[in-house]
Amino acid sequence: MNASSWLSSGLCLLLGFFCACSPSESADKGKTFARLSLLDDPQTLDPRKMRDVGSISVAHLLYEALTRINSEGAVELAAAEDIEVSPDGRLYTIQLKNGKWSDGSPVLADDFVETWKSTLDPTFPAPNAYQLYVIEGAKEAKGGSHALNAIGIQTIAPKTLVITLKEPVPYFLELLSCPFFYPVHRSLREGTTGELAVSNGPFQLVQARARQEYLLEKNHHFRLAPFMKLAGVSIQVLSETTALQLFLAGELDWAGSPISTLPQDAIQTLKESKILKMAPAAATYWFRFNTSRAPFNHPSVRRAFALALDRQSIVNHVTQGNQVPALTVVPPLLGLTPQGNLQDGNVAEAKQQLGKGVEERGWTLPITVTLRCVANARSLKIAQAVQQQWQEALGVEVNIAASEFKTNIERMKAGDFEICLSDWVADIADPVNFLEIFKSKENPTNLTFWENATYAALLDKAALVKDPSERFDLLSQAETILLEELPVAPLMHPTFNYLQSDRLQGVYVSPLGYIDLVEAYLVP
Amino acid sequence: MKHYLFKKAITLTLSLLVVVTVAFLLMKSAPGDPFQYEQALPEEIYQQLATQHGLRAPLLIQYVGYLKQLVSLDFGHSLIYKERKVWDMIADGFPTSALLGFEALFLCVPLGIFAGVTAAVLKRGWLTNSLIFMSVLTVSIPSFILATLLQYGFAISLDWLPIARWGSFFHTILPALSLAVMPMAFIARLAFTRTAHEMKQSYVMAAIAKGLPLSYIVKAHVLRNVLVPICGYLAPLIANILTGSFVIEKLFAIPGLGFWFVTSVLNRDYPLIMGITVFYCFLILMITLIVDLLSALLDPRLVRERSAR
Repeated sequence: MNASSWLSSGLCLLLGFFCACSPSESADKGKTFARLSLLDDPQTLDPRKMRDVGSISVAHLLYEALTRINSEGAVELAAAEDIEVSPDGRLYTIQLKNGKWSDGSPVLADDFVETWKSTLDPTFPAPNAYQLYVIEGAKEAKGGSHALNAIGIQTIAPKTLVITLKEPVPYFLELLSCPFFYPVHRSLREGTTGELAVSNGPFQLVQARARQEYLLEKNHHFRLAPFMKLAGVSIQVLSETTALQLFLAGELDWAGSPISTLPQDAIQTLKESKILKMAPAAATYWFRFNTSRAPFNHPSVRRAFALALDRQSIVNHVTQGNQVPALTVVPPLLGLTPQGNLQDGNVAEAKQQLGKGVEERGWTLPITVTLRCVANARSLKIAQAVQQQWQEALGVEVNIAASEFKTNIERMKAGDFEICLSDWVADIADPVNFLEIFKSKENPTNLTFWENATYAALLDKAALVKDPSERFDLLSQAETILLEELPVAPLMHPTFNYLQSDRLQGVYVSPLGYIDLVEAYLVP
Repeated sequence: MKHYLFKKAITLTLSLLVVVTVAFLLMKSAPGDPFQYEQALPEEIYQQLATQHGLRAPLLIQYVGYLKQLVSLDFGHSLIYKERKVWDMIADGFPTSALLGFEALFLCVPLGIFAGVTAAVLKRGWLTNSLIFMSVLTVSIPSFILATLLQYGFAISLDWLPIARWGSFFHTILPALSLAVMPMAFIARLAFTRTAHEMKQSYVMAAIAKGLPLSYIVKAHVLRNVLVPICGYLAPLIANILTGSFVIEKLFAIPGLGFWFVTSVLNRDYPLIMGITVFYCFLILMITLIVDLLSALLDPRLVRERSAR
């Protein structure tokens, strides 16, 4: 065989491979399916194991919980037909609708009960199991000291289940709408299915190609299927720049938040060209202070740093995505009205507070502090802007220590930080989701080493109150304490920035970070 | 030859063992683990997950366990992509990366050699200068910039080729080009320097004096000598290019292996890190072996030197 025949055989092989390659189905489905970009592959398609945005976003389209949050942000019944709550607020008797799985089999009370029990099985790797600890005996069962059958969840009829809570949880109906309360089909629980699990929500997964595309078709057995107009969804795994280019070329219907991101450098241009859309997010960017270490073990110093922040200028010039400068820890859209007197960029007051703290502790100015952040474009830009603001306003020296995500978390867990830039996105649309983080310094997410007995007592009291306005009053009082003590300095409430094609309509973006497509449709 | 191959096989196994050990230790000494999230897990759940995945056992036990697994060719499950086996992830990603890599090699090796040899043989000032200029330029442009420029030019402005995604031959052209340009420039420079050197040797002078045509001298005598250093460069290049590039795969949305190589480390996905490291190492050692044999074939002096030693 001479060189040219080697060459031609090589070419034939290559061509043969390409002929064997199946062309992307998205091209065929492009006309009738909504095309969304997703930043990362879902890490799992089993709702009991998921914690990442990719998995939760896909699961939200595949599954239906007992309740759901509607486009007004209110809780309404979903898979449940009726929920009866006992006078002491601990017993929930739930009657199911006549729902069906995507294979046509009925959704039964047992599907919910057995799913939750498997989540709480000590041998099952379910990172979110602790979210079910509000149920009586759940924590003990997960710890292995309690039988799974003795947990406060049981089926009393094929379509009726009863949940007994350890103590009343005012936001339990909201909690029931979360992915960790989704039911999973028997085949998935028993491990007899692959990736294409049977689901009970608006869509069913028909094709999963890792790192490429997840194809979801309308679930014709879903109770609202007759009213749904969308034939299906093509979820494409794309990096932010690639997604942006494909969107601009008309090959995508959705790019950006909440299930992906847009390149930080493109935000301003997209805003100017008036194609950038925005939706509020129930989230807060904040600076955690290490209150166990000097100089942030003095509340006045923390206040000084919080007051010296010029949030508006960061929003206008750094992040540029119409974020809301945050003067509260809990996003205002969750309805609290704390009496905090935090102001944006009050340099005079900030200097005074710093002077007070330094004098009381006998320190000498200038002090040097280190700001930790994750080494990504957005965090670094914010950190640099804030570094300048603090240096100019307070005359302190600020060093930036940026590290990759896991290293950053490890350092924070070890208390090896002074200030750290981080954020929190709500799991449920209830203020307590933010406030309970700081209830005890033992809470693994607190990380500020701050706790306050009055604050904890107010949260405990609020948990027992049935009247929502009275409860919100108590929670507002708790947040007032948080804003006086400032273990965290709120920076901004982020906004979901996204691009949506004109042909895709009727999409609801939840402030909790998922997309609802039940009412979505494509304009021809 | 048998003896040589036997010796090579032993070296290969030992090298693999060293790489596995070093990679294992480095991986375990990196801060963080797969179950650390921004929203931290309660301690008991965290401990339960870590125990379930064998991360609480003493390091030595974990290491011996991993070696045992390796011997039975079991790479385990990913700790992050929970339903996926490491071997399946490699088996899914590698053919894609390899195909793209072959395409890039197909472009860069012949073109690089051709450009370098031609410039050196023809000895035209402008040709040499433009070759050096182009190679310096392409070596210094990072592949992600080049890829973005190619995407902008050929996919967005001209609309000749797809912007990204994977599926047909046309999807591979831009990424393969982005991958090929830098090694092509390097090979061209290597070929140029070596050819220029060989052209001054007495055997070439003798051939010219005999009146042999230049093209024949280059094909029959010079090329063989030029290919030897290029072969040396090919081993790491092939292994590198076949296992994929994180940046190119991200930009063109290609489901290859390069992406997993980087994200597995960021995620502290221990089984995936080890699986890909072992696979990559095995590949590089095998390719080095093949290239060694190929070099010996091209230049028998190498074998004689080895046997003399």
